[in-house]
Amino acid sequence: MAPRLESPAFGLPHLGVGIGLRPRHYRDVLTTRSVVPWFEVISENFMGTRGGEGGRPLEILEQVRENYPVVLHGVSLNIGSTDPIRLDYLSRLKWLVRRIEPAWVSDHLCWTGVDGENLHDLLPLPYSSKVVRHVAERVAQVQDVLGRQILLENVSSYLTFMHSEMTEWEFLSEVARCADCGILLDVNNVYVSATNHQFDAREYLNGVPASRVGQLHLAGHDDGGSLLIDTHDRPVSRQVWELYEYAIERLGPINTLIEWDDKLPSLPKLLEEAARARRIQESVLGRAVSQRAAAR
Amino acid sequence: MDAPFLNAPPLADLQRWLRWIITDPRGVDAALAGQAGEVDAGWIESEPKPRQLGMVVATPTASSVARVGIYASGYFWRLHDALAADFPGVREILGAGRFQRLAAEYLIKHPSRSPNLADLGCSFSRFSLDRELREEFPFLPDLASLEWSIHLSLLAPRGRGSALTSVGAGDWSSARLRLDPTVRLLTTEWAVASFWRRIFAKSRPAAPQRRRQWLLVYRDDVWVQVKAVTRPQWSALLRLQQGCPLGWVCEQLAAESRGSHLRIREWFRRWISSGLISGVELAA
Repeated sequence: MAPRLESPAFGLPHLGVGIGLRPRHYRDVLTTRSVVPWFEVISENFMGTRGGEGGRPLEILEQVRENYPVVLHGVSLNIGSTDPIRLDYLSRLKWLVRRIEPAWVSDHLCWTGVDGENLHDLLPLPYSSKVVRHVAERVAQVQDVLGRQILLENVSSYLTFMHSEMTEWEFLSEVARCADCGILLDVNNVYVSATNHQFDAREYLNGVPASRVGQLHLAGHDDGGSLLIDTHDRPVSRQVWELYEYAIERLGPINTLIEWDDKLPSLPKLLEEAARARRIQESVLGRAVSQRAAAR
Repeated sequence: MDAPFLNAPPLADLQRWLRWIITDPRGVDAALAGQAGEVDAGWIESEPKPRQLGMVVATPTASSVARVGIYASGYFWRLHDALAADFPGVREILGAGRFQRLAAEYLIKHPSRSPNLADLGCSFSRFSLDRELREEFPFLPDLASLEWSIHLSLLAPRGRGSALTSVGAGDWSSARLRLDPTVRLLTTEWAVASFWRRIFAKSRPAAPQRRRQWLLVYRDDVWVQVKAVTRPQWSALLRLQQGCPLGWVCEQLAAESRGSHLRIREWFRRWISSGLISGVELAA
């Protein structure tokens, strides 16, 4: 397969390789004009407390937004729950979207709570056509309220269900197709879940529709012995870098983000990870150009 | 994929059962075995039926119990860490083990019902401490209350009111000054403000004394500030926050503080320059 020169990227602007904006780096980001082209932030961290409007973190985000594109990445949409979509949450998200004008908005293909209780974790769903319909209807509701399409991210998982009818990548692709939303493909999550559930990570990447993938995530994971754990607390592993290169070959130069949440390194160290992702994109692109030239 | 499993449970049943097993404070093994554990039996939620463990795929590398256990452990530590971040002084004073136990009990009684982890600690300062903790750390609810006020101030929006310069000389008495939304006023029975500062200076302070404090918490351009003020000053700020007319607030302040007009004017000047007053409403 010849590497792709262009990426459809779900019609999103091409921003390159960004990093997550975290409090430890606020000062560095505000006082130095760094080389990172864009930031992703956790939406909920800028909504403030109940009934509030964001406070100091939002003030900082607005200063960052003056100089950089920003993407909103949520963790509490609870799109797979059997609870009704929380309209109070959705209206706060919509308010934040209006205020920040993000390049795009994403959340996770999972459930985070039920019966009004929030577990603040990204819990897996059974992969069935019934659940596809359930989630797709809810995504449509969210997109109607926000007035824009969203991206849904595949999560790392530590369990699967006996009654799943399809693979995870078929499920993700079907939800995206039925809901007409985009995909945020987390390459580390693909690797972690592939190891935990013993499937082929490349088959996963081959099975996802390139036209719907708008962003990639890269992160570090921990080897918990019998299972890999998605920890976001260390550099991207060699295996995930290899898988990323394969993803770029297949999908093209997709917007990529380095996720690092715990045991955060200095900003320069984090930027080294972003630079490595950029070099891989450039290398794959270079090969694609050479192959195209040789074919002429 | 294999043929679909014929007896697929309703998604709601599956999610309810998983919520129960993941949040059960006894741990996955003890909860499945119906063991009492260390937690008061009255606090334990009964298992939703039917049991859904059989729906979780087990492999030679990890059993279904081990797989569910990853989520149970992740749940507790994620919420524990959120509480520890919002109540760093309480965490420091109690130490790891006792804070962990307090967090576990709190999460049983006050599970998160908000999409935002920032709301998790809203009942923490009111949460009744067990007898052992209350005897050893009687100031703990005050310390928690101060830390929650700091958290709320940090996450409050900055006020955007009318400029004070727009007020005519004859309108001041009936005007209502609007306190900035970042302002929090609290009283404590124990002198926890200086104690809290010393914790963050990394010096292990002596336990705070039982002495009533009137505390003003607000956010300046950079961060949250905590000040102990006099009772009359605190009362004046509270009356402003409640929307009382400025003239009446000043009369009360003068009577309660026996302060000169010059002194009261200086207090107002300081409050305005510190950003405590974000606007003014004029009587119709």
